[in-house]
Amino acid sequence: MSDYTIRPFRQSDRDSLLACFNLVFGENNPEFRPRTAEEWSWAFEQNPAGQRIWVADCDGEVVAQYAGYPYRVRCDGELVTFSQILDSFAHPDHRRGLKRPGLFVQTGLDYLEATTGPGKDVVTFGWPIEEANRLGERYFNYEVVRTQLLLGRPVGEGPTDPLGLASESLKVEQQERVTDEVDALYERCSQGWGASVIRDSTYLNWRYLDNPFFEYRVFGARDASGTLRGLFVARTGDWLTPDVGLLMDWLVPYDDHDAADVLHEAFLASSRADGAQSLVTLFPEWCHWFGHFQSWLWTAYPSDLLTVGRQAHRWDMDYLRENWWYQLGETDLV
Amino acid sequence: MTRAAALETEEFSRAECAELFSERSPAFWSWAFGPEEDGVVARVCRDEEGRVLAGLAALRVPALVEGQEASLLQVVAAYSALSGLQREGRFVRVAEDFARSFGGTAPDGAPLAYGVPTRSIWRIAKERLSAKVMRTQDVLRVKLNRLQLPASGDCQVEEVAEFPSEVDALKLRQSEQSAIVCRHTVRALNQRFVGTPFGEYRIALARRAGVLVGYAVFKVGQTEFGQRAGVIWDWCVPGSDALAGLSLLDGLAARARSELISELALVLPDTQPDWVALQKVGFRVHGSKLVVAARHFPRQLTMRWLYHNFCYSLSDLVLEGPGELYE
Repeated sequence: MSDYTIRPFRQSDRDSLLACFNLVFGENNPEFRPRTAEEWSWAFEQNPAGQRIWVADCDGEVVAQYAGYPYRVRCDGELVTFSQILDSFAHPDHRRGLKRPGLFVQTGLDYLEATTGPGKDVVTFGWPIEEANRLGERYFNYEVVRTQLLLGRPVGEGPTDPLGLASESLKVEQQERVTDEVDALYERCSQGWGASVIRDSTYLNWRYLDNPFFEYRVFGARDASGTLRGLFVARTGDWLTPDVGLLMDWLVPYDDHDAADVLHEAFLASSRADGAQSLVTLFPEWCHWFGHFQSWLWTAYPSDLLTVGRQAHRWDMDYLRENWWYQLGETDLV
Repeated sequence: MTRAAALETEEFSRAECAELFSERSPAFWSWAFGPEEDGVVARVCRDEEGRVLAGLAALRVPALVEGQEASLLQVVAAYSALSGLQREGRFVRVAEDFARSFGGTAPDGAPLAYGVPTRSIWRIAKERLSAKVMRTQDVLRVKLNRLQLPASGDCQVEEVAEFPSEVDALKLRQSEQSAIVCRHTVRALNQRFVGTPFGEYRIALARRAGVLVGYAVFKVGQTEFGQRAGVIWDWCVPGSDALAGLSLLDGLAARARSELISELALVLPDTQPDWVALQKVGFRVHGSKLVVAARHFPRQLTMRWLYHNFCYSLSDLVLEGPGELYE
């Protein structure tokens, strides 16, 4: 039987880890595009909230990984971290290593033991496929936060230039970089959000504008005094159906109807310009925008997505279901 | 410290249930047991002096699971006399005995125990009793002034005092279209909705050329803002018969307006075709406090399978309310 060491990632593991990652996720997947060093670096070295990688080492080679993206979160007024579990795997030749519960599960258990709890990641979450969720429920105490609905609608006819849209007092702009002025906007928006990833410039630039996987665009609405009144992030791609306009992030105060109207129209216009046929987004049902988007002719659809979480401090899944603001941007799906 | 004796397994009378599960009224238990005293299954844990420490009771709900007749267990009452870990331990013992006694594979055992647990019971159930979330339940709601019925349905709608015998055939059609569905007979429906301890329900039937094609049951409730709402407790329109659904809505809306009701509310699984269709005529989806949880006994009845296949109405989930509908 092989000897395994389960431990935090070291820089010297990178090439071995990437090779194993590409082998595992490329297995029986002809559409798989190997992950590059640049993409890996963005995901795990440049994340402003830190790094969460545990590996299983066998004779100097990485043969399993349990990893996550940490996020800085304001939860009940406290600054804490959540982490999204993703990109976790075990090499096919080593899956039975350690016998029960197996190398993958043991790597995950060590990860969770080391990184979660009061003063560490207080919640881990994700959108696992059914098989991974079964493992998560059985071994990692994962629970369902929500059987996830998505909002969708056809794009419809209309303008195709988002920058040409304006109300009497607002102009739409595309932002090449998000600046610190977004902090005040997040403060306004997050009133009433029990828990949310802190949407500051550091996070938004890393998540979207520095992202090597996809090209996202950020649009803002600014008034005559120069104040940023709202912002959204979008991209068009194939997800669930071809040519979908994806509204990734929507940062608009619930009571700013002017900004909401003009930014919604700008999203429609940018999606039309990108050739999108339909639109998809995600809001938690408790929030104002879940209802408001329905008044803009969005329909709520069931999905196969399960939003799951693991409690590591006092915030349980009931709390998250009723208080946690998250959107497509928090997922690794799009 | 009180020590628990062996779990009791005797038959439970409606009077004993009324005494034990006092959060529900004697009238409730009389209704739940039904005329033949077989509508409820229950288990309790007693101390050495015979005092009940914890208990669990469920309604037997006849159902079809992939075409096979079965009983589902709709958990309707849970009781514990103790607090803290002692409470948890006793309750777990009762629930495990309950599962061994009544859960299993049809036709001998119930393949599924489900319900909408309170938070304190849910905490124990998920951690120690293998219960899982089947669905976080949303509610379809429409303000009557926003209900946009594009064309009248082609059915006649009438309000009746009780269900007619043709409903059995309608329910059979419904059950042929869902892999798992509660199979309420006319007798059971009349027991559930006519002369119940839960208030006054209105039964609306839709007929096309004299043939029954759908029904709805509604009752006046109150929204979180104190407005009168028509809560649709049962909605049965087999085959996604859009025109029959429109006719029923038209009839319900007319009735609701006459009673100064401002909105209709309906609970359906989001995986049912009607769920999207109803949004097209003005219903909007709202979050709720309802979490449908279950414990399955045959391995193949996973929560994802149930999520996609279990067809139910509000009356299959909760017995009273509608407080849970509104956040």
